[in-house]
Amino acid sequence: MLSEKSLIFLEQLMKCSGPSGFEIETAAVFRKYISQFTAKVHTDVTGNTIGILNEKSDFKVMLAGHYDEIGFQVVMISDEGLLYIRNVGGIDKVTVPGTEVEILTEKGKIHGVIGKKPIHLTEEKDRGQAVEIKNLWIDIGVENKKEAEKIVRIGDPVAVKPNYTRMGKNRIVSKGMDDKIGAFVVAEILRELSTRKINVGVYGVGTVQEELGLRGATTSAFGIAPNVGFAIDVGFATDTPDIEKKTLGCISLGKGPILSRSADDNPVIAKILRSTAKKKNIKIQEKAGYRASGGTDTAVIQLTRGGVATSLVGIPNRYMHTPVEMCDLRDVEGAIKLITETIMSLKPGQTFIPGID
Amino acid sequence: MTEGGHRLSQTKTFIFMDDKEDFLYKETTEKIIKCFYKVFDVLGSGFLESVYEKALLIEMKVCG
Repeated sequence: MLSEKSLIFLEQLMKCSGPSGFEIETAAVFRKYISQFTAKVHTDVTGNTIGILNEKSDFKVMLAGHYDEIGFQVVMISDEGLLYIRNVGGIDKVTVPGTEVEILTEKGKIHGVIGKKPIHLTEEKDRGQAVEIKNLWIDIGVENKKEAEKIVRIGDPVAVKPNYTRMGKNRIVSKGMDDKIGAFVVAEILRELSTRKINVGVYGVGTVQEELGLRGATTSAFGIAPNVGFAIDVGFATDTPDIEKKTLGCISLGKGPILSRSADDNPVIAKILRSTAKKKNIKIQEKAGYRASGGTDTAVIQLTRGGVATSLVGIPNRYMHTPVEMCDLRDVEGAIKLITETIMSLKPGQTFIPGID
Repeated sequence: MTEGGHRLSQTKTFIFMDDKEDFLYKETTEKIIKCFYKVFDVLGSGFLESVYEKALLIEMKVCG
């Protein structure tokens, strides 16, 4: 079970705003928390935060959870003082109108709303059509351009207003669950391993700019040069009525973390993870990977230098890339336990060559 | 989870999709892409852009 202290950290992390490229607030909360139990913490030039345990070991295990989230950026301020925006990452334009946002300005957060022309005034042919993001704007309650320019600057990042809530017995819902939940898992693994005697070096990383093309994991993995890499990211739950199970398999919230087998997953690590799950009685869900390769930090960690033995551990997630992404705490706990126990079973010098080890 | 994947996989997906479609200058486009992949296969990643530019020029001359 997650401790009260961990749950408070989870809430703090979810309430941060840090669209890709502007993760400063999220990074600070992550850094402060992991500093309590890791001997060394540093943030690199791209913004990745790395917490290190047992630095003297040559055998390095990297954990990656990306703490950036999808969002927007201000591109133009109109004469009326309205802010035109562009998306940062894969925003679904259908989910945008009616969203409350915060603009991360130099002087602090500003509340804004993304409105839309009332349905009464929308022509018949346009009803039910999604409005392009370039035709939407943020209203910050000012009366003209001059007033707006005193508060907001071109380029200011924008995030959905924090809305973290616990629901039912085990469910949590928030904007930016993708993938601050992965960064949370990384932090909790570091916390758990800091209480044990470990044989290998562990590098827990909150990575940046994943939503723009796996950018933070690329630089941090190069810097660390790990032997083994685990990326923790959200994966599609298929237990809602509109998702096709025949293409994505049967994945439910609450039935355990997802272990995939795609080109990104080293077969030897894949076996070790599954035998650890069996030994420690941790529920897992099997998946082929939603495409043959790519989509998460695993893909670029694997291709670092001469190659890294990687695996993706997925947290089942509903409503990905909407402002109400939902996960289940039991899957989060399962992922923490599974990776912690797997790392405990690794030995320095161990190799992971497919077909040989 | 990123919606686009990283750049290289995105490029490839795009080309595969276009295999089924008709578009302007299809043959020339295919030739150029072939040259691009040949250069990338030989050189791999990590060189400066100008190196690829020169290699691509040589490859395109060879292929006519």
